[in-house]
Amino acid sequence: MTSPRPRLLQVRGLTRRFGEVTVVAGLDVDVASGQAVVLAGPNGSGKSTVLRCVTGADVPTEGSVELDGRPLDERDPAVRSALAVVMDDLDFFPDLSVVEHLDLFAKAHCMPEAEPLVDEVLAEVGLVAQSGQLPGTLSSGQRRRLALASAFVRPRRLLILDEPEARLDVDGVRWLTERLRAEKGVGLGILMASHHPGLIEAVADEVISLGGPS
Amino acid sequence: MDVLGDVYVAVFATVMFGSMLANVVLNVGRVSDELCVTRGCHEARSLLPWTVALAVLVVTLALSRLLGPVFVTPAVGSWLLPTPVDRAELLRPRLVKILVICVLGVCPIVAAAAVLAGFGVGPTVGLVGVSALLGVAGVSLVALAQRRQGPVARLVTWSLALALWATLLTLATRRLPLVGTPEVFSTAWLAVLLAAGVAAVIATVRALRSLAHLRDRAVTPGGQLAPGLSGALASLDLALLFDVLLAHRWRRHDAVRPRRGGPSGLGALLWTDLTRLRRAPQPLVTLAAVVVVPYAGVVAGAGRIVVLVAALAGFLATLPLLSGLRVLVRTPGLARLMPFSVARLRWAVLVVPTGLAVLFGLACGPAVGQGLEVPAGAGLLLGLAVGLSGLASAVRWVTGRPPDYSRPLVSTPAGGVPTNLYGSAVRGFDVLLLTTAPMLLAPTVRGGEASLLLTAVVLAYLTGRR
Repeated sequence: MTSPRPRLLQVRGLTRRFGEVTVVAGLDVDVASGQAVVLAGPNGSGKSTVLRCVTGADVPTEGSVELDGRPLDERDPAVRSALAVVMDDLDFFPDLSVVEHLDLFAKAHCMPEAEPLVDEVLAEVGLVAQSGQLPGTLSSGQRRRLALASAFVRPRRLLILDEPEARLDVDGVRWLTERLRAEKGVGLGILMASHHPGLIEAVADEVISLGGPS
Repeated sequence: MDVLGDVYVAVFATVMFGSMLANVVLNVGRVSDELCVTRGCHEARSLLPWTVALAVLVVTLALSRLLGPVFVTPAVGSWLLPTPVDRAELLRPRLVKILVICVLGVCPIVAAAAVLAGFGVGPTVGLVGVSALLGVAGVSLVALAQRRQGPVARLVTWSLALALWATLLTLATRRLPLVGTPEVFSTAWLAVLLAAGVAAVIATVRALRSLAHLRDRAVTPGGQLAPGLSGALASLDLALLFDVLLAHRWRRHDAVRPRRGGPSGLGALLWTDLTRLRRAPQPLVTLAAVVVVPYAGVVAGAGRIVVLVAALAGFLATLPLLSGLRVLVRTPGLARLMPFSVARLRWAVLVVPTGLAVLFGLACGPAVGQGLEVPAGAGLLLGLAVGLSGLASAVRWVTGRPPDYSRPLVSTPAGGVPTNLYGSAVRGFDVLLLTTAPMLLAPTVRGGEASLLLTAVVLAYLTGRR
C-alpha cells in the first residue's frame, strides 16, 4: 500500500460571476504532488478564469483557494516561489534578449548554477539560435517556448499552465508532453487547461470538464 | 450640409483659438519688453527664437524618423503594396500631406517665439520662412534616407540636437555675445531664405522621385505605430504611449549581444537595468545633457522658477530610464514570475534611476541654489530634492492606470468619458508641482527637507500600490 500523496492545492466552491453571467459555479479542485489535473472544455467554459482565480490574477466571487493548507496569496514571495505560472498573456521586456530573460528569472530565484541551467533549458526548448534575439522579433511559437522555458529555470512545486500547447508545432507538443511527465515524475503538481487530446491523455491523472457559462 | 457645417466649425474654431493665442503671445511680448531688463534676460530673450527654431526642427526630424516619415496604414500595406500599383503614385499624397503638416506645425511656434523676443515683422517672416523651409528639407531628407535606411537622418537629427544643446550651454556659461533682436529684413535674411528654399526644393524633388523605390518594410512600421500612438493619445493614456514607443524602438533591432552574469536575488533586476544602459546609453547622455537647462534658466533670470525648470527637465529625461518599471507595472504576469513583493520588485528596478536622479539633482544643485539665492550647501540639498522630484513625477507617469471604462462615465458632448481620463493628461506634472511646492514656497533647507519627505511618501505610495 502506497502512502497518499501530499496535497498541494485545494480549491473549494470556486465561483466567478461577471455581472449576470456565471462562468464558474462551485468548482472543487485538488492537486497533489506528482499529480496532473487538466481542465477541459469548450472556449468560454471558464478554464482560464479558474486558473486566473487560482493564481490571484482574478478574484473569485465565492470560494477558497489554498496552497499547503493555507489561503493562497500571490503577494507572498513564498507562494511566488512555489507557483510557476504560464498564462496566455505573458509579455516580456522589449529590450532584453531571450537568454537575458531566462537568466533574470533564474537569478531572481537564486537558482544555483543559473547559467548552465538556462543553457540547458534553452537547448531543450530549441531557442539556442534565438538566444540573442529580442522578444519582439520572435514568432508566436517561439514566444510560447520562451514563456514555457521561464517556468523551467526556476524553483517550482506547482505548475499552472494555460493551454501550454497553444502555437507549438508537433515536435514542440511532443517535447512538452515528455517534459510535463518528467515534472510529474519528480513530484511536481500540475494544474493546466488544455484542448489537446493527446497531451491530456499522456499527462492527466484527472480531467475536470467544465461546461459553458450560465 | 453636414460637411459644410463641419467646415464652418473647424474654420471658426481655428480662427477663434488662433486669435486668442496670438493675443496672448502679443501681450506676453509686451510684458516681456517691460520686465526683461537684465543682460542675462536680454541674452535669453534674443536667443529664444533661434533655440525654438532649432528645437522645432529637432522634434520635426525625430517625429519624421519615428514614423518614416512616409508610411501606409496596415490595410494599405496588406492590400495595395503587394499589387502592381504605381508605388510613387500611392505614396506621393502621403509625403505631401506630411510636408504640409510640418509647415503648419513649424510656422506658428517659431512666429510666436520671434514675437516674444521682439523681432520686427520682416525678420519674423524671414525666420518663420527659413524654419519652415528647413523643416521641409529635413523631412524630405529623412524620406530620402528611408530608402536606404542609412545613418544620414540620424546624424542630422543628433547634430541639430547637439547644436541646440551647445546654444543652451553658451547661454548657461554666459559666453554668448548679445545676439540682439533684428528689426528689419536685411539682404542676409533674403540670402538665407533663398538658400533654404533651394535646399527644400532639391530635397523635396529627390524625395518624391525616391518614393517609387521605397520598400514595403520601410513604410509599414510607421503605419503600425501611428494607430497605436493615436489610440493612446485619444484616450490620454500617456503610459500606453510610452509602451508603444518602447516596443517600436526595440522592434527595429533583430538581435543584441547578450550580457550574462551579475548577482542573484533582487540584484538581478539591478543588473538588467545596467545592461539596458550599456545597450542603449542615450537616456544617460540625455540626462547628463539637460543639466545645462537650469543653469541657462538662472542666466535668463528665472529666479525661483529654476526649481520647476530643473524638475521638469529631470522628469522628462528620467522617463526613458524607467522602461523596466513600466513593463513590470503593465504586465503583472511578468512580475508574478519573480519571488518578490510588488513593492520590493519596483524598488529594485528603481535603484539605478534613483542613483542617476540623485546625481542629476546634485549636478543641478548650484543652479538651484543660485535661483533660490541660498548658500552652496543648501543649494545641493535643494538640488537633490529637485532631482528626486523629477524621478517621482516620472514614476507617477509610468505607473499610471489606463482610463477605466468599466466605472460610471461622465456625460459630455463628446460622449461618455471615464472619470480618470482628464487626470491622465496632467499625470506626472501633478506630482512635480506637489513635490516642488515646498521649495517654491519656502526656498530654504526646511523647504528642501519637506520636499524630500513628500517625494519619499509619493514614491512609497506609487511603488507599493497594486
